[in-house]
Amino acid sequence: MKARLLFLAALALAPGMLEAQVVLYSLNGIAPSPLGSVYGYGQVAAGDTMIVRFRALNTGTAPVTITCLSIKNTTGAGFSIVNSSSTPFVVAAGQPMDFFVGFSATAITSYAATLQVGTGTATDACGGTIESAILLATVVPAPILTVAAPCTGPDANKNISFGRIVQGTQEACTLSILNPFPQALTVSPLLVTGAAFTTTSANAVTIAAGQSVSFTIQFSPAAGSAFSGTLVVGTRTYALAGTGFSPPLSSLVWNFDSTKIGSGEQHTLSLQLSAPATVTAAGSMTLAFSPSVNTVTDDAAVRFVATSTRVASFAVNAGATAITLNAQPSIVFSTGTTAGTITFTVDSGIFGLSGSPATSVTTPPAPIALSSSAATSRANELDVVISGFDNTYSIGGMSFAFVDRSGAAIVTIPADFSTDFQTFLKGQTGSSFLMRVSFPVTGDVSQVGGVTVVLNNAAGVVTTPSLKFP
Amino acid sequence: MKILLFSFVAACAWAQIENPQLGVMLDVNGRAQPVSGAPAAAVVGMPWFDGAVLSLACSVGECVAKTESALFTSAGVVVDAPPGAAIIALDAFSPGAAYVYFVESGKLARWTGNELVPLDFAPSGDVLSLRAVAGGFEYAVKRDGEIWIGGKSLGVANAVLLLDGGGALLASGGNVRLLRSDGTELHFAVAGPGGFVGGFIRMSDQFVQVITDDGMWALDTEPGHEQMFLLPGVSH
Repeated sequence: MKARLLFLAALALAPGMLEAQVVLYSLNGIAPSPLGSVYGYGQVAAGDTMIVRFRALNTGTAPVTITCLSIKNTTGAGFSIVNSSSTPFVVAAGQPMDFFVGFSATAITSYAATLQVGTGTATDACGGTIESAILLATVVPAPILTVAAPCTGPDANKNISFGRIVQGTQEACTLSILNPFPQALTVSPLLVTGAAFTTTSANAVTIAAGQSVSFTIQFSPAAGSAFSGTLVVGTRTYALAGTGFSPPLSSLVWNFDSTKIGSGEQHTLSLQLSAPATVTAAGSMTLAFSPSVNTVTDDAAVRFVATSTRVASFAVNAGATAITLNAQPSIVFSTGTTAGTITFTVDSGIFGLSGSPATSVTTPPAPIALSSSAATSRANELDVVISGFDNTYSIGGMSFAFVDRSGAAIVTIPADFSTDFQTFLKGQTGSSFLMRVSFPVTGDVSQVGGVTVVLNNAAGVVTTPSLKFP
Repeated sequence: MKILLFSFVAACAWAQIENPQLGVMLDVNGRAQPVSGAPAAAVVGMPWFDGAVLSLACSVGECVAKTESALFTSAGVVVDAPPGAAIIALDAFSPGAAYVYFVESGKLARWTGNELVPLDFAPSGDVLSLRAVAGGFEYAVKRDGEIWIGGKSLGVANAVLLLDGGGALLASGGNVRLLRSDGTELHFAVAGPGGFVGGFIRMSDQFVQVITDDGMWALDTEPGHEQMFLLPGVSH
């Protein structure tokens, strides 16, 4: 015997020949606790499964091979390894091997098993060096929990859902606990946790044999987000879940400063909700333009004027119907100088919106709009200067009716500058123009007193005032 | 029988077409930007000058601007000038010339198109606006809380712009009054309730920029066309 001890001591002192050491831990979450000789699962409801994570840590300086990982049920048959790496498993120095041991049983009694972790040779498996612990569990009667609509569950993972309700409102669900056993059953604790969940139930309840008791859990989401909680019914813990959401904003009321909207105008748009907003909401409003003129694809002047953009922010306060646009009660937009359709679309994002988020206004094709017109004369030329815009982009045909100083007609000269205008408008972002028409004259220019110009486009005819030559 | 002393050569009539220029505006950063298009659908172009302009006045054919330390024109003439803002009155009777009042120094000069020529000037109050007239100039001052042109009071106002031809623009609170030389008036409510008109800039012969606390506006001063339009750009 003494010789054997000396031999073992010699082995322990020999570098490179030291047996690696394995120490067992249990883990509660990620925090390991040294595993003693006995580990208790505590009370487990009949039919439930409790799984515990264990760890075999190699505390030595050399790798160790775990050749055996076993559960030997010594009282009843409830423990089993439910997830682990296959053996043999080499654990490097300082590294762990984790595995999971589950317990489940239905008979109301106590259970025991031995957990063994061996590092022996392949032939003796768990007969070699063994780290072990005794596992204990007690199966207790479990009541049956049922949940009434509108809640759902519990599912296989003990989840109870309260669904989605409007934030700031409440939803009460009725739950029942049935005692299926032939003797009275005390359920303790009976607890609800979670900021959005409350119950009026006592912390414990005794249920007669074969009877059930009911209680309510109230879900009250204060904000538009997901909420969670727990319901503890004796040994069982259920997850409570519900979502509060913001109700969609009520439908939009579009207010334009005029029902008649044409090109070359600025108009004011204000927005309201048909009912007060239940939450403070914000989003954006965009403007889009679709020309009705085939030869152009856009008109850059169609936009919100102050910011020269086609997007504006919108916001509404809880309890209010008035919407601010770019932080103002209204917004001014330009209709540009091209006939077409202007569409405003609100994007309320996560807040949602009842009804249509968009509206459109149409600027119809119109006769040429004149901004100014004048007539001047030079030594041998008469000039007519006209500015304006043509939202049909078809300007070109016109006539000039000259009169003398007494107002008597002299001559009417037709002209067609369609080609000139088409060339000009191709390079423009709208249809605005300043036209100077010059008429070479021979003779006494001063006799010409005035001119009236008639301009045509696809939508009609417009006539200037009588323009006087100086 | 009517005797025609002239004849048209109609076949030679020709048209020159261009984008209408409304004038030049100052944005909130002091950038002088040309404004073109239809008044209610105006677009701004590239800044005329790469820097902050303190004061600006434009006619149909030219602009005179004042930066912190220089006076310059749209023709590209630049001269050193006293610091600070200036009140500029283009002289329609002498194209290219202007009267320039330097607010900080209280000095008046005649801009000839090439140089500044000092003028004797002893205003009887705080000078708010200048106007060139045949053979000289007129000016508006604030004295005893009122706006005066010579011996005539225009009443209380927080801003004034003398228009060529005898008219004037006056701002009180959020309102603008357009006074014609014939004694007629037009009123425009520009800024909202509690709003404030901060000043005027002559964009061109026809348009005046009206600066309010919530936007930049253009006022068409052409008789028969008087109307306000919102200009691109915020004012604060």
